[in-house]
Amino acid sequence: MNREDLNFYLQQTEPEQIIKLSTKIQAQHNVETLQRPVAQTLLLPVNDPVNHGKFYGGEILVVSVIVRVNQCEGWAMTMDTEQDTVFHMAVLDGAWASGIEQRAIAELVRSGKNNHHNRCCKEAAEVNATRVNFDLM
Amino acid sequence: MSYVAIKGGTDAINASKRLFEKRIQPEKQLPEKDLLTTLPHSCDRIIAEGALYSDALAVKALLRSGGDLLEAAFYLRAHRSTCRRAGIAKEINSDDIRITRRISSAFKDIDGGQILGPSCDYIIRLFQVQSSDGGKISDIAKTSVIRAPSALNNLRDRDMVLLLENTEGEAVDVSRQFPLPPYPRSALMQVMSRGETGSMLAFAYTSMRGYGDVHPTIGDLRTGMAAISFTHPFTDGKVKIGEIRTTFCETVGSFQRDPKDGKLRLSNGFGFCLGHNETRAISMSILDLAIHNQGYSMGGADIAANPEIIINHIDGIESMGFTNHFKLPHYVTFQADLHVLDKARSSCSD
Repeated sequence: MNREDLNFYLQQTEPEQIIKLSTKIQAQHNVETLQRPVAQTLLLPVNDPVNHGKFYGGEILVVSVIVRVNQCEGWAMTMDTEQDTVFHMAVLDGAWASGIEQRAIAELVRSGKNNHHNRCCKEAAEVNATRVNFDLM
Repeated sequence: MSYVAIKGGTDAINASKRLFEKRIQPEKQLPEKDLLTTLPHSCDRIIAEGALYSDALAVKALLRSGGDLLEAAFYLRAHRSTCRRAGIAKEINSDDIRITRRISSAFKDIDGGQILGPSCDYIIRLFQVQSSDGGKISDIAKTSVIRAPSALNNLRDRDMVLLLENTEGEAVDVSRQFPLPPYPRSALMQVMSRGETGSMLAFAYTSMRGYGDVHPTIGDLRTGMAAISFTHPFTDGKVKIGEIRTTFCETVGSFQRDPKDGKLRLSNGFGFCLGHNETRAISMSILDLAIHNQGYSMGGADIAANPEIIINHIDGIESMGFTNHFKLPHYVTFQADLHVLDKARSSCSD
């Protein structure tokens, strides 16, 4: 598991679990907020198959946070306007970089990965049911 | 607002706002989370035309505007201008999305298959009760996520598709700096990807009906979830931020002589939008075909092929703003018009 896996898969777990672990880390370690949750945008480049170039297809609203956990910076970015969980995700990112609670964080990420996989499988089953079978024609 | 300067104007404006709120009855509105699931196409249209992907704000805007989609898109566009830009996400490609619907009118057998997905195309538009057949989905565990290359890649591999020359070093961002003509392709594509659906459909329709010659075949139309990734500021690694709903359309036009080597190849157009909106993506690909390929028209009036017309007239927020500004008091300018008319009439009578 890489540190880069945290940001997406933590979002796939229950926010309460993230907050609980983050609160525990904050109680035991020095956590400092370097950048409070702030609404920003990401410009979205889209591959253009007609000339192998790209163009900007719009912007994505995101919220990002930067914290410091025991001298290690932690960062998290989520889509849309939610500002509560993203702070705690940044704490977990910083904790991971500091070597704190790595086993518990990895467990959360695994659970998020499973949740995401199950959701995708369910969606894929529904979508695959709409596949046209030309053999029957 | 000019009414503010008038005695009693502020009171009238406040009363008007109260009356508008009373009319849309915010206290009776559906919960925001339900609106996204029950009116997803409205939200997607707001997102695409507002050019800002935010489910939460799209729903809020829909409620505040009383269901006026263009007005709602205005809210998103306005909010976008208040946010600092964190950076540029990683480029997305239609081949990489998790497909929820994918069809081709050009080929029957395509790699990845024809997937109808959730669509109202197969529903009879009558108000009779339509019951579901109650079919059950089985073998969920055995089903894998669908990703597939474009159905046109096969033609590209056989060198049958025109590849337009890419003369741009970097893509233009029209939200920061609007280019002067001749318009770069990336600018046109960006404007079209956030254009107003009805305007784009209307212009594309002119070409289809005869004031142009684009009558395309849909090579690959797909909707699905695209991963949004960014760079982790402390590791420089690629981080997934989330997933967005997207629509991509590749259409094939008539064959053209390739200026590079004189060979005949098929022209193709591309459409993209945030959210799920197939009509809009198809319209964009038709306009792309019309603008970037030589066509023929009745009486030389191929307006869909005119980049000047398209780039300056399909933005819903701009055109709505210009149209609605006529509601503002023009008392002084109109008095001047009347004065000129009086003068002209008296000169004529002399």
